Amino acid sequence: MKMSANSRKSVARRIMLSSLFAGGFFTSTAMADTLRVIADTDLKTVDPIVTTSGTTLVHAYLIYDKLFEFDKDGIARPELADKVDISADKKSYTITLRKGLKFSDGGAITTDDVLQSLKRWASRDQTGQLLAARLKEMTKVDDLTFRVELSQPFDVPAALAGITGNPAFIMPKRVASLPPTDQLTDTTGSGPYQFDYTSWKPGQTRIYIKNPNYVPRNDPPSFFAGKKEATFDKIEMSYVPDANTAMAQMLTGQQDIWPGPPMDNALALKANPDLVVAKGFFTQGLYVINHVVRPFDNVKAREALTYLIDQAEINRAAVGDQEFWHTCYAYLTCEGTYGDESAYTGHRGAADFDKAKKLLEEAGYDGKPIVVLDPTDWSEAHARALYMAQQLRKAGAQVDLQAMDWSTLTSRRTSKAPASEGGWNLFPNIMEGQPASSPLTHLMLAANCDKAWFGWPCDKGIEDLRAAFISAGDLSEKKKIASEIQARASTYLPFIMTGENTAAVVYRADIEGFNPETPEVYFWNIRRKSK
Amino acid sequence: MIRYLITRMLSIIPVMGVVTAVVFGLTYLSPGDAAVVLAGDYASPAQIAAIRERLHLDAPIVPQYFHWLGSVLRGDLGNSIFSEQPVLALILSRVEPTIILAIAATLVSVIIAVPLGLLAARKRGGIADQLVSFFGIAGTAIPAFLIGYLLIFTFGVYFGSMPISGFPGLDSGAWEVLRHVLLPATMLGFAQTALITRITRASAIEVLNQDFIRVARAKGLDEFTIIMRHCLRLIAVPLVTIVGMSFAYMLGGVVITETVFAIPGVGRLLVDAIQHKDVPVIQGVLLISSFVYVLINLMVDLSYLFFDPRIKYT
Repeated sequence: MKMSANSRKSVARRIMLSSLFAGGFFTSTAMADTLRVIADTDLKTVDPIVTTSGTTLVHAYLIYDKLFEFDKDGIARPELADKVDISADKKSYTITLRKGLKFSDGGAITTDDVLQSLKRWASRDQTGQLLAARLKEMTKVDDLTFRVELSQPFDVPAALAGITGNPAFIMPKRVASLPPTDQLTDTTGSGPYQFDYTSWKPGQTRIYIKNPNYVPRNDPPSFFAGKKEATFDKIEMSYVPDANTAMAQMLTGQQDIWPGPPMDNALALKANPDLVVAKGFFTQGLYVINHVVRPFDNVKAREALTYLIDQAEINRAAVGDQEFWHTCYAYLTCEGTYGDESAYTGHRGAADFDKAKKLLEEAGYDGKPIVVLDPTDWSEAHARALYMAQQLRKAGAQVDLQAMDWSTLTSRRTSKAPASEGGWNLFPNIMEGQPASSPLTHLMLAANCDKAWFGWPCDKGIEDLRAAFISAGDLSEKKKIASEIQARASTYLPFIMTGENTAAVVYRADIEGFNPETPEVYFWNIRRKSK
Repeated sequence: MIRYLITRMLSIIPVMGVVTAVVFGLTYLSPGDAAVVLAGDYASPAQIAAIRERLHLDAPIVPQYFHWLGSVLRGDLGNSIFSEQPVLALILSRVEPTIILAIAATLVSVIIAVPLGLLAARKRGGIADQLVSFFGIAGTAIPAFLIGYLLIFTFGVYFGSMPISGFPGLDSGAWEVLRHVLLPATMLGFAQTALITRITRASAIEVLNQDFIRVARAKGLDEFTIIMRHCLRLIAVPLVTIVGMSFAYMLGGVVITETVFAIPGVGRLLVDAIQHKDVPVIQGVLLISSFVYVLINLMVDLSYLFFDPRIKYT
């Protein structure tokens, strides 16, 4: 290939300047058997039962495995389990483990470990608590088999395959014997990699080593299910707090994968042939509404909010590039198994301020400021907060837009006081796509009053339908009930939808086998093409 | 002198007492709840309440303060709410990069700033003086992070010849440490250099206008000797003050530099702790940083005795 004079000059100039400024300072090349990943935040706690933090989940998926995992069709497949026998009335599940399974310390994985792990999990996880409420008993049959006896039908494998929240990871009995609010410090695991807690220093690069005792399945990989092969000897995860520095690290080849970069940085890297900018997991955008204080304790006021939102407009402002968002009016997401946009009977399309104003009047809105919590350290949510404040003002409402960091917002949202007394009316949020796709796991769709998530929606109709869904047998029956739930939600309005968007994921072009679309990024089955 | 030293050492006690009260009060009163952050975004109110109870976060402020103070006096700064690791160990694990960065940045700034300041004073009103004054203003005005990005994208991305983030640790060798510290030290030292240059210039102009300097010149003493033996010694006191204070400030953790270059230092530890409401870590870092600041302040005061024999502490 011929090089132009300008190119030759440019190369010569760069070589000369490189030598002049930094001769001998050449950076070391990455080891071929090490995968380097930029972590979205620093790992703060290593216990996936104590916290629902996404960073802890990414860590946990490397070092733990589960009895069941979801495949790409949303079917729970055996993972550590070998088989499951289900009784005709779906009230008894006999689960058998695969033979020869070991923890990272070499100890055998037995039903004693499994039962203790599930006991700790069920005391914390929302789905686990639903299971616990229907559980008669869990009994050991032998070292590899146990039985789950239920008072009502319940999809046990699906519950044990849950991906977000507090997944049902299998730990040694001695670790799982800890109270569910006490953090573990023994990170002996059942997954493809192992982690040394004693050498871990928060804030510094954390290192995962291939677990020699892990026995992967032989089934082809599908989403979280199937073969989980530790293809790299070592994984290094570094928290790089500054997005521009992270971008520079990707450009210089210091990192292999960057999950969830800011959209501006991701788009800036699109032209680089050495990098792939892919769509990551999808999320459902929404506004969390406080149902226990005025004015949104009245359904007409909540309906007014739907007339203020133009999903296309809000996503252009909050997300930007249309490749990464789409409008959606399904309470259980447009991407998921149970999503049904036709069930939604509310307002769609452009904002209608006159209608919103009329509905606020009918709701008895008294003109007091509506408190919108604005998480300024989360750019997308910040844009959504500003949008809502602007739309409310256009509809004649008084708005108190309160700026704070997300951490402060999470404390503030616990208040049930009136908005004028330190409470709140609404704030922008997201639900990760996978849990948002099922009535079982969509936290913000649950309308069980005081026991509900922040905002405390309270609607017997939704709760009765959710209970029916949990007990439903086959997929068609579940879909039917899910549509009824969404129809009911579109009249009760537990939260206000703003459409769906996907995060961006950047990774090196020589990486293959990486699935960027999972709700919690995992790093098994990944290879370098050159290897 | 000894009496003065003892008095100064004893005066640290009430200062630190006030610091403990202020630090504890501020962290207690600041918005946010560690239990909420620890439980995660999808935790239920009941789960959060259980964690809050376990961590005794619902206890009244006064008993909490005295319990904490008692632990501090026993040398126990408590454990991180999140990692459950001892706060002192966490801080010590972050001290190495911060100290090395602070030393490197101080060296960079002193080596560049003092000659520049003296040059500007010597050539007062000339081109050199104007250029140095412009640098002094620019160094203060240009945001440090912008300098950091320029260094990263010039030497790290464009030339591909320098590491742009992280800190390898002393066990990886002095050369490796130097490679990693050069860009952040330059960024950090840039603003300090500008400040020290301006202080040096102003102090030197004052000294060079004094009668004894004229006498020295009249006696035929060369300019180098005048600057090094007479001028530099007299401007040492304000110089040591500003260098000492900026060094102490840097030891408290230089948040922006550590963030831009992803260096796991004390500053990043503090910022992360604040973002997560990890109260024991916030209190520990602020307490130790305050103590270091007070200690360096004392050392700077004592150094005046060496630089200016006219100063006597009684």
